[in-house]
Amino acid sequence: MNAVDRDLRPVRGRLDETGRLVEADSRLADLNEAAGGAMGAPLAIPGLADVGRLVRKLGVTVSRKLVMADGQGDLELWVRAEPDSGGVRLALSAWRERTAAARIEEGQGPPLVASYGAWRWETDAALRLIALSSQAGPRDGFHPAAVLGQPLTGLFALAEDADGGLPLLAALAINQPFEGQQAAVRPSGRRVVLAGVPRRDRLGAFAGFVGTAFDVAAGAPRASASIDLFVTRLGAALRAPLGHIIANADSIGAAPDGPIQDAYVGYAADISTAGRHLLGLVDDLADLEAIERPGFAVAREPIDLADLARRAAGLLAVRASAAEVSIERPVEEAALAATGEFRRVLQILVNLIGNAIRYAPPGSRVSVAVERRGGTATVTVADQGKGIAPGDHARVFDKFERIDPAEPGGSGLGLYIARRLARAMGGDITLESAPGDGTRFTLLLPARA
Amino acid sequence: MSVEPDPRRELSRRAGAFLARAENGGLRAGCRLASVASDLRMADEDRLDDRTRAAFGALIESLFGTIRSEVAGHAARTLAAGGHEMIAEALLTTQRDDKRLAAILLADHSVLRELDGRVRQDLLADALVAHERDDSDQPSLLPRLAGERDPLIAGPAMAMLLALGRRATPLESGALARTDLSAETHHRFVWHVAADLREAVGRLANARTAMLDRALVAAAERSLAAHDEGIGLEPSAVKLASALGSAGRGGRAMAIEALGDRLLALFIALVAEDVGLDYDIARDAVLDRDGARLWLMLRAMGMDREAIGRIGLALATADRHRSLDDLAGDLDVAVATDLDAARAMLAIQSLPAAYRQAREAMESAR
Repeated sequence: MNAVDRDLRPVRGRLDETGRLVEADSRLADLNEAAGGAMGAPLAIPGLADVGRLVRKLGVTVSRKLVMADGQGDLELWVRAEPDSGGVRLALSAWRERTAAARIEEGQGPPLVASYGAWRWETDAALRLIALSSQAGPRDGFHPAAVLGQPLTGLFALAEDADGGLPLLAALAINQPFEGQQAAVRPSGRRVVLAGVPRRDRLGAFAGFVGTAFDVAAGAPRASASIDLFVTRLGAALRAPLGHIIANADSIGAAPDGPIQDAYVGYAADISTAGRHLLGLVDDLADLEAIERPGFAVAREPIDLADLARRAAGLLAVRASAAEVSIERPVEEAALAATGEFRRVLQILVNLIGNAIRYAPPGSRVSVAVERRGGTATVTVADQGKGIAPGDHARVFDKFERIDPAEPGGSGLGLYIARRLARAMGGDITLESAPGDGTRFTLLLPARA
Repeated sequence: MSVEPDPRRELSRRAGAFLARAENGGLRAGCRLASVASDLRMADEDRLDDRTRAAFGALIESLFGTIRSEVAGHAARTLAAGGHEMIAEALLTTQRDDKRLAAILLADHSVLRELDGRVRQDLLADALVAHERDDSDQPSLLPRLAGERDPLIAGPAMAMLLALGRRATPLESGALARTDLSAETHHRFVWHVAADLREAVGRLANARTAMLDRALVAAAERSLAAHDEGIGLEPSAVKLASALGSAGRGGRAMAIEALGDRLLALFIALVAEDVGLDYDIARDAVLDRDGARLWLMLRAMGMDREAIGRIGLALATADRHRSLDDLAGDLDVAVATDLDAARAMLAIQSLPAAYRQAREAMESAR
């Protein structure tokens, strides 16, 4: 982050009534020349020429931030353009190099409204509170009217971090976002963590913070609670918008209002696939959180494993036919009594069959077969795909590992979750495979007499 | 990894919905034709953009959700206390079709106008960019006014700060701390939501419908009694503008500072106060992408080309649908308009709305 070049005198210039550059300090003349212009010719710097046109057209002073090319990089500066007897007088100040970080950060809006006891607050440039969530106050024994219009520090007592710094003030000095500012709500002493994004005025200068205050006790800082936090808050927050994205992308792709270009159908399909992948990831993380929580338990209920295998195969019939793969499922009259949780066993089988379909070559067959081996009931899902090298057999059950990382889709959590679930039900999942010989995953569960 | 719903249960649910759709088919056909006709008639600039449509939907949902949970919550407590837990439970868990209720309520022109104005005003205010301040260490306009000794100024300024906080930061669930509706509109919403709840659980109540009605009416009356339209954003802005005007501190400079601080409601109220118009009329002029009416108002306030241009530019920067070319042309005409002529043109609009409506009614009855 470069410091703003405030000490330099503004660079000046003048355009005549037709937009030609007729006066210019050397720095402006150089930039104009680099852009292919010359003195006495129309101004060649596009953004600046636009401002000049606007001022000639409106006849009013225009002040705004401008970005212009300078050699390999971008320059960011403030321009003030005033009408001047038919022409336009320019004053350019506060030059600075524009970094990639600045470009990214410009795309950031104010932070999302945080949920679960977090407040949202907003200040003006003088750090006076100009907005506060309506739920703020009662819990900490004050009325918002007592703190609105007052300095932010009247509500929050800011605490230094481990290095003795105050993230909020450091961010204020460089007009940047901050997070992790420890503070106490003055009326109650309750500890919160503040985060904020600067609002900028039309010249790009600091115009206030828009921020949130998280309750430390309910908040994220504890590492062990981080997945829990993700699942309960972000997971819930992501599902609905992702659902909308997928549904809209699908409807764009289906071109219900008439033909659209093939390229756009492709883009829509990409958006939809990416959305489904993310939705799957959210679901997987929810499962991961559940199985890794202390005290996780599954129900031990009587189930018919053959019936479940048929159901799982049925659920994936459409996906299989899209992939040109046929599924061979247990015959209708087959039954195999076992013990496990209905919902979780179905989940495991959907995962195993889904994987098999993903890796099966078109035209091949995925077989789903049930068998009783002594006290164990088994379902074996076999594909005719390229198989898995013996050295990788253990790895595919690890967290975030994929059978084939080059294949699209999947979070790398499915098999990990499936095996954890199977073991929680007193069973297991085993794998037999060799390269070129297909893959056989077997779910084993306690059989029931 | 997700588990899909049981296909058989799903099928029976869909069968019910399928029959209902078939039953409604004839009605839908009529509605569709009406939509086609209105869509074809519509001018492009009158079409809702996606952002406005989404904001409208969110506001409606929040309003219904807020009022419904208030009314249902109170009525359910009354019913549960009387031993009717099942009806109370049904009141709290029933799912209602907001679209149907919205269609009934928005058919009322004054309700539609209020919500439309609020949605578009909030969107425009949100997109405004602050103007630079001469002294950034000084508090901005509203905190300064809220800190004044004069309660006629400090009171509504603080009410505006509170209302802005409510608008900018809805509660976690999307519920609103207050509906911020005018008394008439709040009234209509509350009674319609109560009637809709009655329809939803009326079948369950069987012989006890009178008791259900009493509980719902008591809950609705409680909500109406608790509503204070005077502390909403717009009424507070109007009060503040009026106090500033009486103190000789309204007018051009204050309006420009308010807009520079992104206080759109106060800007509108100051314009309305200065030219003697209702807030709604000034708001319509500010929200109209054709700025002619607003330029005329600003001219009547005595603004010069620089001031009108500054405001025009600020609005055009916040709303990309506004044309800078049109603004340039309009500025010349606006500044060429004589102050007295501008005031005279606005004079008719500044007569009380009820009087103008009465005159219009007399005209059309002739």
